[in-house]
Amino acid sequence: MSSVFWYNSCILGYVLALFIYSFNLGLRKSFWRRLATIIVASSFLLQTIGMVFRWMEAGHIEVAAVERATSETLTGLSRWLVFTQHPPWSNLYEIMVYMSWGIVLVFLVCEVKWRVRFMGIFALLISLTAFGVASLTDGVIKPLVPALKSWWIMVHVISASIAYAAGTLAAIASLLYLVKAKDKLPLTALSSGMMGLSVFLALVLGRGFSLLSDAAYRVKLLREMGGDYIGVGKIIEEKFVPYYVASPGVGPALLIAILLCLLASVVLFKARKKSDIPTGWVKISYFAGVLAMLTVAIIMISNDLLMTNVTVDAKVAPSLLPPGPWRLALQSNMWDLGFLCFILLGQIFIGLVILFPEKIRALLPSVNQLDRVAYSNIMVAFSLVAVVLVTGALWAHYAWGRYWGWDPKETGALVIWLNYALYLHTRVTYGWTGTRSAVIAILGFFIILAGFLGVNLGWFANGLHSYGSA
Amino acid sequence: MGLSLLHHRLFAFFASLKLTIIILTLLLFGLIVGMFWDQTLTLQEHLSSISQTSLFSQFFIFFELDDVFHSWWFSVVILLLALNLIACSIERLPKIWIDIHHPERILTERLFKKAAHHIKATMPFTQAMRFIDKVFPEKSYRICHDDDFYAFHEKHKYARTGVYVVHIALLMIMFGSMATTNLGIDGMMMIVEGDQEHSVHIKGPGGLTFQHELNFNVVCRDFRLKSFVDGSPMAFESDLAIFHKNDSVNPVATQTIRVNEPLQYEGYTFYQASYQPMSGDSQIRLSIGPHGGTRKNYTLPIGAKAQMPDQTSLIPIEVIQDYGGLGEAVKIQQVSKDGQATTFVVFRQYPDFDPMVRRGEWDVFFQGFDQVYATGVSVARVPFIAVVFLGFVFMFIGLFMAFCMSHRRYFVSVKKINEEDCELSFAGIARRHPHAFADEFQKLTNWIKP
Repeated sequence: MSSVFWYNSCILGYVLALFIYSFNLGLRKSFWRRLATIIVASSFLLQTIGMVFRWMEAGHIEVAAVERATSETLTGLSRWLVFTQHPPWSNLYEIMVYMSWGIVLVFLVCEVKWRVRFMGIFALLISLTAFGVASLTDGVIKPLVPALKSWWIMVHVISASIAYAAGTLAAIASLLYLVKAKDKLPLTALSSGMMGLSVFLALVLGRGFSLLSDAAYRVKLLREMGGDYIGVGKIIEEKFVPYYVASPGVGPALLIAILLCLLASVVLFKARKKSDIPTGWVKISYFAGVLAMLTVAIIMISNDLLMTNVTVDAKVAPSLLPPGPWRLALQSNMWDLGFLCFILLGQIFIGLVILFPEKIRALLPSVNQLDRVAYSNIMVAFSLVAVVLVTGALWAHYAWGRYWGWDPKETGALVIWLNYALYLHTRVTYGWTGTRSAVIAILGFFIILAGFLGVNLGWFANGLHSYGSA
Repeated sequence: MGLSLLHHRLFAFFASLKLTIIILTLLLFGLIVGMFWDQTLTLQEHLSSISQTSLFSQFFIFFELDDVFHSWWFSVVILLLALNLIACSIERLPKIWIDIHHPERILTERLFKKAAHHIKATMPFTQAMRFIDKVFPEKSYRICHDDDFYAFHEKHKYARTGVYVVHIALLMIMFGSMATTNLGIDGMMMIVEGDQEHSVHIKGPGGLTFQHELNFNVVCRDFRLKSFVDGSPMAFESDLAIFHKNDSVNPVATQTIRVNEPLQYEGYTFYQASYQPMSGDSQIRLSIGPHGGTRKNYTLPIGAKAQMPDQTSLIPIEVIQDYGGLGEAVKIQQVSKDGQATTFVVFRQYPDFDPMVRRGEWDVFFQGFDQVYATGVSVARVPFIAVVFLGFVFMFIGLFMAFCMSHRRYFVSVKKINEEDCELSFAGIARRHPHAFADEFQKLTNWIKP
């Protein structure tokens, strides 16, 4: 059996548990909650088995590659060392699977310790999104590059995964805290903040100025080759530069969505002192924003699925390689799709709260419990990011001769760490335990996204960690 | 304003935690700027993309945005952070130290009200004493005043210094990194196989490189690149030898260096970092034959012709190091006998691509290169590295103390009401994990009805 078999059964388990958690919210029977938690735990076990299988698959490939290259047969300890050197977190596919594993692990700990099944819905959705994006990346195991052949990769990446998962769980708990703490933060203000955040994230999604300058949203052009999709591009100064085409309709739709969200944000912000729950036009403005965002998602996905034959400007077409027919696919903008999932997840959840405020608030754990979950998770994240930074520094010292080089990835981890330091210090200094801490914790999630994934995806300047990219 | 007042105010300024928050925010801002801006380009390269006379370019130069992490303002923020850490520790640590060794142990009315968790109840003496024996160990502080009884107990009293251990660790790391920036060396040497080299290229301020001369020669006797069948590198190693300047016969040190296996000599460390095929020397190995037929091997430099029996010629015209994530590729020009030219690309990793997808008249397989390499050795001298590593150790000890241990104090007073009954006051203070302590307090006192 291959790792994919285990992963698929684990995904099935997560989906099942997600359904039980969601439907059980109305029933509030502890039997169903326990059943769902047991399903999550056993699926987690399946995923762990899958990762062990993946490790072994990689091991066989490493051994075969070395044997083919040296024409010698490896035995005993030397075979074992080659066999184990490729852990299942060394390319982007594996990292995404591994992150979803970490999130479920931290959720299980929180659930056992504090009974926070509501967070399970979010944890499982994020975990499944990570799986979804992973399934679109190139999952082929390639022999490890020499720089990654080190035992430091084990502790470095393990702590990173758990740290970032704990940060994610802290952000979820903080979001729920903001929903629950109605005497501290009215729902109007929260939904205004959600809409404001959506505007910012949508601008990031549309590559900021490029979207505003010509109202076009660009995705990678692909060529289908034996079931795989290969990026199309041209060669400029000996370098392959991927070619992007505008996905029709998405740009204007995204602009409209941004405008509607901005409008909703302003309207909701003005209404924050009048009422807790938005009503009338204020409420409609919120759902108009959500609807616009949903439309963007629908146009994006249908473009990706339906545009199987893309024609390109005749001047450029001859210089593009490999030659046509070209098409779009989910792989053209998979990271944006994952990103959009997060925006919609937040928007729809807050939308549900606006529709059923009292019901949902009654279902959430108490304010103290949520604050405690967030605080504990951030302490774990802060300590483990310190481990990530230190093991990274030691590894860099032994491999490159410098322990710190202001590489974007290193800086990113430092930003994540300092953000949590800020959280802990504001708590001590100003006694920020409520809404403001929660906002820092939620920001922490996006800083993790930028510092962890953004660097691998080349949002920033190139660095030494780019060998993790797909 | 008197000097002592100035001193007092300055100290209060640096010792305030609000300054810490401001510094952390500034630092975060600086880091994010440095992440978004490409720090690998030089000032000139940056300026060429923005208008020279614009206000922005003045701004750019003033704030040294091409090298944020070594700019004056970033250094100022770091320095402020160091001063802040020192001042905070001087301000708070002695007070905490005194409180650790001389805590207030008698539960007064004031302390009772101040404590986050407290409970007062009337109960028989025996019940009160049983409770005290359960919560307060025998060794804990117990005292009788007149008819009243007091007890005091605390857990993890040194946990409170954990924060300062982390701060000292950070100061050590900052000191070490300052020493590295000012006294250390971090550069590269490219040594062609069989050659010697004694200057190290270092990237200095503004991304400009300068040279650091070693007082010995480094010779690369041999470089070996082992690659997988698909052409990606499996391992690479260099045989290095070090010679004194005036001696080219007897090496003072020899070692084979690999990734993660450096050579150390006179405080310098030589790491196998990269390798580079020497330009002009690369020969491309191709295997060519009619579609589906038997093939012949050719080894050609760029631009050389491989002549086919039917007068068609195939010319490798360009090497592409990484073709869109598909690895090494070669662009081939095919010139038929009537002079018609077409170009196509063949991949080293995907040998099936040419016969299966392109389906040309001739199958072309790209099998790799024959070439001379230069080994890329990164050279580092990191003084005070031990201080940095010790700082790491301190940081973990401090983090453990601060987060995993929680300082907790328990106070009790028993006041006599009559011969049988007494008034029991019980109070608890925790400096960390307030929620967990609330649970513990609840568990300890749930039998008491006030």
